Amino acid sequence: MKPVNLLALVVLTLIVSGCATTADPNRLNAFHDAQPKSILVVPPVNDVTDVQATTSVLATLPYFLGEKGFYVFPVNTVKTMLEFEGYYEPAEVHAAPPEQLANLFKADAVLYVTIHEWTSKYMLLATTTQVDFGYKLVSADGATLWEDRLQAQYSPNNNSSGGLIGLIVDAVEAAVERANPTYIPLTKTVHAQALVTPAGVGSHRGIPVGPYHPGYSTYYGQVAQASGEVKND
Amino acid sequence: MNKSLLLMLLSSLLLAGCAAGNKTLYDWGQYEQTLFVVYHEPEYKEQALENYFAFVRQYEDESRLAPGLFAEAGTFLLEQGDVNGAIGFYKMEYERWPESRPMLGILIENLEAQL
Repeated sequence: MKPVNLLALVVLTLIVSGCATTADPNRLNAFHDAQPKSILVVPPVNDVTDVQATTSVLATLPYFLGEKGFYVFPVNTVKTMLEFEGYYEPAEVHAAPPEQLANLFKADAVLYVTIHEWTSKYMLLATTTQVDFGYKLVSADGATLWEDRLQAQYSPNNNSSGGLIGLIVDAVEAAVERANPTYIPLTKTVHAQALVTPAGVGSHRGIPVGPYHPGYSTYYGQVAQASGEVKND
Repeated sequence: MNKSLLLMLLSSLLLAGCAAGNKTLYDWGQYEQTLFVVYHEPEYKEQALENYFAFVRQYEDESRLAPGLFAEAGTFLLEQGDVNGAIGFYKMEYERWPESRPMLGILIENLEAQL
């Protein structure tokens, strides 16, 4: 990640309100059994009219999944190939059998994201954006491996925006920043929360690391140990 | 405190920040911004794609490029009608990532049949 992105993440004020209050120790059992290596991210369904929200959600998922150690199918290539197959609307893709989609690309799992809300309130001095994303990871045989839903509210810090623009030297990046100052950093903040690596079996948020992550064998060693302890009780 | 010392301290802090931020498994370049520009900023598309191709080409013999990024370059070239160039990038992805082989094997075969 580039320093500018990191800074943008820090500058955003974030309030995440999680739905889950009690942790279900079995919530990742199906994930642990399947241990997917590759993830097909299909175009997100967007319940609001903002098309840039869709792009932002799609464009920022590969970073998090890749850095977690999964092979992520290239999202724009997948989108293009799905269109060749006759899937033009994300809703059609989401309605198709996951087994069929996974088989088309020989993916271990399919990630579906739905943008339930993306609302910006423009006030005199600041803009507040309210977002609500649903995530669902389904295995190639149709089993749900992980699900979560996150609501978050953002108010970019206006005092820092001058400094931020000053740091952006690249014309392309500047163009993105001018047109859409909050989309990418905002979306990345929510993904980072949703896709965090669970600290332990009691943790109610996040997904395990994948096979390319250096912590992969340690993670599954702990999982095996935890399940052994449960059996011994 | 002396001004230059303060400056030195500040810059070393900044450097430390950058080092921590670069601890990633892969290099991603401006992948996210490129997709944004391709979808929404037609006047910057050509420049963004040129930058992206140049970035990806640096990794022909290097493994730090993030998964999927060679293949995306192939698809961008395919959209421009450069089938040969597209096949080249698809083959790089195919070699680097075994998970991509079922999908790209068929794609490369079909594209080569068009030549």
